[in-house]
Amino acid sequence: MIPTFIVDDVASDRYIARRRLAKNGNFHPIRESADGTEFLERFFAADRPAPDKDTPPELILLDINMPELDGFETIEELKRRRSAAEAEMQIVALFSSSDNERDQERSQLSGVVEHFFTKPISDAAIEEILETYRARGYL
Amino acid sequence: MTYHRPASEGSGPASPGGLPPPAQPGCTMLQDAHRGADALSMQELQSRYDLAVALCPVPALMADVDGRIRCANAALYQLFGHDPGSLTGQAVEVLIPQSSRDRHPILRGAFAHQPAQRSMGQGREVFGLHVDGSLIPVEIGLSPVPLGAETEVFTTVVDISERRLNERRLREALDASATAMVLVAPDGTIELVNTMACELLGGAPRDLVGRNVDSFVPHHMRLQHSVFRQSYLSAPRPRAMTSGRELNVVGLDGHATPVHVALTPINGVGGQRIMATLVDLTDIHAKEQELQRHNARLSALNDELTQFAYSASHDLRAPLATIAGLLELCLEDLAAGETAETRRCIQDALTTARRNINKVEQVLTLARAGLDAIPDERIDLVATAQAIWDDMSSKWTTRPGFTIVTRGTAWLLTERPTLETIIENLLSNAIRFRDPAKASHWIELCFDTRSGTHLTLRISDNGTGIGTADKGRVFEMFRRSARSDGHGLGLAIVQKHVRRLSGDIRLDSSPGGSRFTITLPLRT
Repeated sequence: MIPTFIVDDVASDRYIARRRLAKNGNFHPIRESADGTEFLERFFAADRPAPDKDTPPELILLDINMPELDGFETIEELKRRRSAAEAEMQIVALFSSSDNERDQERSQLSGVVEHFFTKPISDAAIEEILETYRARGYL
Repeated sequence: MTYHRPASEGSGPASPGGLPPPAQPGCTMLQDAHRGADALSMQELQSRYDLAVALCPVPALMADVDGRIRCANAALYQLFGHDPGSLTGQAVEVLIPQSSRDRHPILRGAFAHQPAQRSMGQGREVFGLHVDGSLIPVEIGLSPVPLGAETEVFTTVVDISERRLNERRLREALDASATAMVLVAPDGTIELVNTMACELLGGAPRDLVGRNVDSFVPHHMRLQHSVFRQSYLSAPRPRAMTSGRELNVVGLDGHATPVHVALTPINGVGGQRIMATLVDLTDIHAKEQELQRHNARLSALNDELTQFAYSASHDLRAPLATIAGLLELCLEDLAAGETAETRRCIQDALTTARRNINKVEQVLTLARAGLDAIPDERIDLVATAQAIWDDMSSKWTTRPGFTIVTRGTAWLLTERPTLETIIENLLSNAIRFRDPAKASHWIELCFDTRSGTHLTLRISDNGTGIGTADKGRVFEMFRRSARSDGHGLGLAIVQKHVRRLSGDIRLDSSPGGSRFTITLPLRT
């Protein structure tokens, strides 16, 4: 099962993502955060488990437009704080309300974002994410 | 008529007969009359002179040393309008304007003392008096002619009205020019200036003519200028003196003016001269600056539009994406017979839709700010702010303490709706972001117009303050606080309205509270 973190300030969008992931059945546990700062706090909690080769990398579903730290700023902070071993064990997917080119370009330049989707999250998008896991020998 | 001692007097070449050769028209005749004077009797000589005067094609007369007219020709009678023959025996002063008549006998005496052929009134205008009282600009030639022991003065009078008229026409044309013109001699001496040049150099022609052009160049460039000027003379050609760089001329009054200078060499009758044409760049510079400001404003507007399009693509699509996502779930839930989940999704979709109707209106408010013309009116700041506060705070059960402070006059000429929108949004933020950890809450609004040039409007509160990370971006569209349930447009609207009024807005914030400072130009 893929541990997942949904980061989005809009409650309905978190709900939609949770429902879609639940329906797929490959994602568990699913954690949620309403903003980047809170996500980073929880994600880098002192008591977090060490990366485990047997569990698939954690999926981080990140919204771009959020108050305080937005999606890109959260990614920068994530890159700064995580260890190389932890980086191996994370897959970041951005969800945006717009397919703006500027955002897509920034996603690519970040070197971290592996998927860029426009909302609402669909079953097809989730299937695409699963492909990445399969390609790396998980599932 | 006024006699002036010419600079070259006494150094001129003398004729073999001891007298300088007459140079005026008709003088060949006089020379003939003079030749062989020894052989002739006084009377014969006099009648020869009279004949010479009579045949002289230009107005001429012969006078004795006391200034008495012995004879004059028809051309002279015609020029001065006197009856033929009527001048004989009269003093030459009868042909001289009243203003210089008194001095004339003294000058005449000086000429008699040291007679030499020369012209009269060199370097200044000389006038003759017509019998009708009008003045005729003239040029006068004087030649002493010996008559036995006596010396008579052969005088020619040339009417130069036409020449003066042409000169004046040329002068008027120069003065009518919109560019300043300065005619400069090879040594840098100014010889002629037109009206525009007088204006630019801060003096009348008499103050400017005779000075060196170098003295109108800024002090630190004078030496350089004199070197350039001299090197220009060695290879003069028409060219722009200030191509690619700027030069200031400093007038007699010390006022510096940025100019463009063009140089044209003139090789005329008087030798080499340089005509410098100066164009005052003050207005052009002002226009350039205005254009730059305009461009900066347009560029800012363009950035704003780009940001607007970006934000709109995100934030106007976002609620629709949410609604679409919820409705997709509804369909699936319905198919599965999950009515409770279906109801929940529809409820959420409805809430999202309703919330965003208001957002679209706010976006339109933002987009329209700056488009419509709004007339200025004189506004009582205190009454206006108080009315906004009363209207807004009535919707809240617990409201912070509110004070209005004024320093200086509390009146402002501005666009009422624009200013009201600014105050409304800032007060609304101050109410919403109260700090629950603090026992009492306050908001202070301060109007300060003491500077006389601008209004400083400060809205301070002891609310939660704005984090350092957010401070730089609070004015961006759709940028909202995590604690806010708004659309993140309030401060973007405030900033746009402040800019519309040509003002500035600044935020100072600490955990102790926030302070927005707005500066607006004061117009009365």
